Amino acid sequence: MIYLDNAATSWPKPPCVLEAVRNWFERLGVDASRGTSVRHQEVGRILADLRRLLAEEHGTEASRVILCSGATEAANLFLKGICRPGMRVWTTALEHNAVLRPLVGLRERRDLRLRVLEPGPSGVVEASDLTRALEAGPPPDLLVCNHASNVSGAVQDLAALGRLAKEAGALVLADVAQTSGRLDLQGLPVDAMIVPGHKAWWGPPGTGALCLSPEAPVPLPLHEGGTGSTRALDRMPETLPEALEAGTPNTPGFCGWLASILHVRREGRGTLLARELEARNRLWELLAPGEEEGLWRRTPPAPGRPLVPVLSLVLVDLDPVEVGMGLEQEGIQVRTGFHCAPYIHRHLGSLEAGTLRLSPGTDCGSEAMEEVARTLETLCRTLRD
Amino acid sequence: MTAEEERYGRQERVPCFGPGGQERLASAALGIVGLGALGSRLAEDLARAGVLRLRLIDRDWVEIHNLHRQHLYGEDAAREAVPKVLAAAERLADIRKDLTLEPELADLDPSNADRLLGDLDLILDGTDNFQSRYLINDWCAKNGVPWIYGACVGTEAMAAAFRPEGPCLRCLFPEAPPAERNPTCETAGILPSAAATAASLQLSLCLRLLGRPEDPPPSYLLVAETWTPEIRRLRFPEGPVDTCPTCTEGSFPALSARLGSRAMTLCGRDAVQITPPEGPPPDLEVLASRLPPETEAVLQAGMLRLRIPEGRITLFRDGRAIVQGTKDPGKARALYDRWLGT
Repeated sequence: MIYLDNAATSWPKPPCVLEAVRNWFERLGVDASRGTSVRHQEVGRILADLRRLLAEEHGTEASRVILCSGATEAANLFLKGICRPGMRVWTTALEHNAVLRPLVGLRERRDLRLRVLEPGPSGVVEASDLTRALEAGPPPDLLVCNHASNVSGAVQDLAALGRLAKEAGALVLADVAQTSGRLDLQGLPVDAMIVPGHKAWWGPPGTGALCLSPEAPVPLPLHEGGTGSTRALDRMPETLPEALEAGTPNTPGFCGWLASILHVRREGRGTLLARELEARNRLWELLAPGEEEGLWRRTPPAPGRPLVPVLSLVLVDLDPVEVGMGLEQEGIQVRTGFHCAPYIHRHLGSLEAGTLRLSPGTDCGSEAMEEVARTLETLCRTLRD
Repeated sequence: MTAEEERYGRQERVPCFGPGGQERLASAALGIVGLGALGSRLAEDLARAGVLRLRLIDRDWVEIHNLHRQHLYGEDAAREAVPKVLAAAERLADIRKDLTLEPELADLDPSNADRLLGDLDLILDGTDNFQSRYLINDWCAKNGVPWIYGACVGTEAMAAAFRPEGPCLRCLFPEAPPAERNPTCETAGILPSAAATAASLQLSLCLRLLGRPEDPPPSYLLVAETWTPEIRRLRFPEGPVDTCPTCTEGSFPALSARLGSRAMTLCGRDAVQITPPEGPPPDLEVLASRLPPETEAVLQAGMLRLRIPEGRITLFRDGRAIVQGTKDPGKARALYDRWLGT
């Protein structure tokens, strides 16, 4: 099987991740801070290590790494805990529903004034676009901005966009779902990042984090409940991260996530990304003739920006779903449709049926990519006859 | 003479049925699953025969190609795509004003079987697929309710009564025939005479089971070839078959959700992906050869693609399919069953 759906969730996970999860079930079996045994302490160390590594990767302090079930929960925690009624929030058309749906929900319930910045010809919202928008009227209170599109793979200039927004007095929430674990995120001028564990970090699903910068305001909790600490209190503790983490955590998942981060560090973040990009670039080349033939259009990366291993095809006169299932029959797993990003399709010309997305992992060799391109061409030609 | 005697005297006069049969019919609650050719005819006949409580279960809508063989429906209902249960209930209420009708616009599945089939004395099969029949079979075996199987395609009709003590449908057919050997009304056609014969045989079995519980019909699978014409009786096994999981182990595979056909809506165009229940994959070549020419069925690149009035169906080697032309999973499943059988 050639697995090209790593933008949704990376697979297969490194064996050390399975081992760490298994170790929790077989040997540890407890949550941190819910007891004082040796096993509790070991789990406590694992979570502390996880926070420490995530803090380092995202340029913050360990106590400001809030462990969540995924980037979606992290987005909900930040947005619902920060947005006051009537607040002005700007976002981009490249966003995923993980942020768009909470924002649209808040627009309805808290009268948020939401504005969507549309990308220009480069496929991303450029710093100049944001500058123009800022000059035209009152600045936003919050900018919610994707680092890389999970549909086209285009990477936005988060450093420039974040700096402009912060200079205008806005908070910045960054969705780094496709870049965390791949690109250097330290020192980015943002207040918070939403991070999934199961994509480029190769961790298990059900893991993620909200990484709050040292200066960022602390959102109100999304969940209130048991935290294991300060048990006699009937209100949430004020200290971070406990203040924002209630209920039994996904400890086996976090054990797996720690193992996967250590794996990425051992292998080298740059080395893994290079392997992914080699496959992505090979695909890009191999799919060029099909574009000339008029079978599809490839979504181009943003000029001058780093690459991530995500690429979409906008199929001409074909339903991606059908082609995707045809590929699956040949042992090639891709993802088709809208990829939970509703707005970007108006810029990709894929509003009707979405795209066919190819997101290679670290073990997709050149031969495999040739097979993918060949199979795609045959399928699309046959289906169009 | 009471009004009831006046109305039903002529059937009470048939000695094997008699006034006792009429009384038992009047006090029974019957369910019909599927209101197509068999179900609509059974519903009308039972309402006329004096059943006073009738539950109608179907999630389909009336279409113009139903009218040549299905009772109770007319052109208006087809034009407006009225749900069959509603169109049927309206006509049935006219046959007998105090008839209690329970129309259920629903697809029978393991999760709603208790609600849809509960509190009934007998269930009549008007479905067109084995999956639903196994579900009825297993539910009835578990809950001790008799049911009557019926099927028709082309010029052939079949019927059988299954009682809780067995043997059951699984004793006769441990597994559904593969899709390519299971013609549907869409692929093989159907004459109204075959439908009428199947429904009549079912009705006859029903009247005897209900009217003369002390003398139930013998265990036969009735197979009528209406063109020849000829009726054959295939004797059931004497009792439950040793290898039948339902009769010998009390296991009811069709009631576990895992085996149910799953329909999943897709994001994208008007399309629903259907994942069939576990089982051997279909033989695409045989299926392709069986489909009528107007479907323009083509088998290429390992996919069987056919045009249907609603849109298109693409069937993959593992039995999964994309039904294009609807966003409604129930409708997609009905179209899948209709064209590809189950």
